[in-house]
Amino acid sequence: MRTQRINEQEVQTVVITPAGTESAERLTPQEVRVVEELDKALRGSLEFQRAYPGAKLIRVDSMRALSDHQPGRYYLRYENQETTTEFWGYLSQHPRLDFKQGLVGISHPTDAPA
Amino acid sequence: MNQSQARWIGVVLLVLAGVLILWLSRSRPAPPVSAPGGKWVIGKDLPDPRLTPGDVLTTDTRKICVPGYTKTVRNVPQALKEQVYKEYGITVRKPGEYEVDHLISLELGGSNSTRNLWPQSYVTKPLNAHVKDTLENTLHDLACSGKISIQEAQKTIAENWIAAYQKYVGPLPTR
Repeated sequence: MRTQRINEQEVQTVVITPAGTESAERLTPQEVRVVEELDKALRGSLEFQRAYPGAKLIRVDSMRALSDHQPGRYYLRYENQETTTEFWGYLSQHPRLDFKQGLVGISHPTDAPA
Repeated sequence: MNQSQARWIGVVLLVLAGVLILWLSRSRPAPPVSAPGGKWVIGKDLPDPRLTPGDVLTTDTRKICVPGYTKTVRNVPQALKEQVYKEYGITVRKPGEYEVDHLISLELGGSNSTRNLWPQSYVTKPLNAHVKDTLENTLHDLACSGKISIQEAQKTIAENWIAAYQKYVGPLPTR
């Protein structure tokens, strides 16, 4: 487990290889960019703000066996003073937030401002 | 090249092919091997610690011990479950044969990260997912009644759930 800076926060990052083992690698710049957009999308949603006020991203697992478009590609863990919760991020043609299932899909981050 | 030389080359090529096949079959993911000091098989009875070391979401018993806590925790996406089966080399399965189990169960504060997931059989005897469920319930009761700490419950089930069963529940079922 490593620490990387994502959206101005120190976040624990884990890279899971296609074989399922943990790698010592860091998230690639492209992975960081996707996670930053996922984080912005989540924290920008009213549902998230109501359920987890002030929650911050504390850990990301990058599942490299999955394609960018598969739910489960990124495991995102958030924490505030009250609780710890989990979401799964991925790329989707149509941005979506399924709060009950914990799925957040964003369009390709190259479409988003850098 | 005479006939004898050609035959020898054929034999050598056959042996090399055999060695290659053997090497490839040994490099499959998570090959079952005996657990140290026990007859249990890693990847079948016990999860492979390289793939599933166990992962904790919370140690907050004020939340874990509230009835219905696990209903507030999210489900694992199907794509991730399929990946877990693949990592353990399970390419074919019958409906109801396996579950993707949380090594540290949700009711003990385990997470939904793949580091906490492994495929466990419902149907193998004597050990299976139902037997582990009994241990999970026992550890939950012990932790929530303050007889052991939640950290101890999480550690013991992650290290070796079979040994934990023997310690906290009793003798293993025999059939």
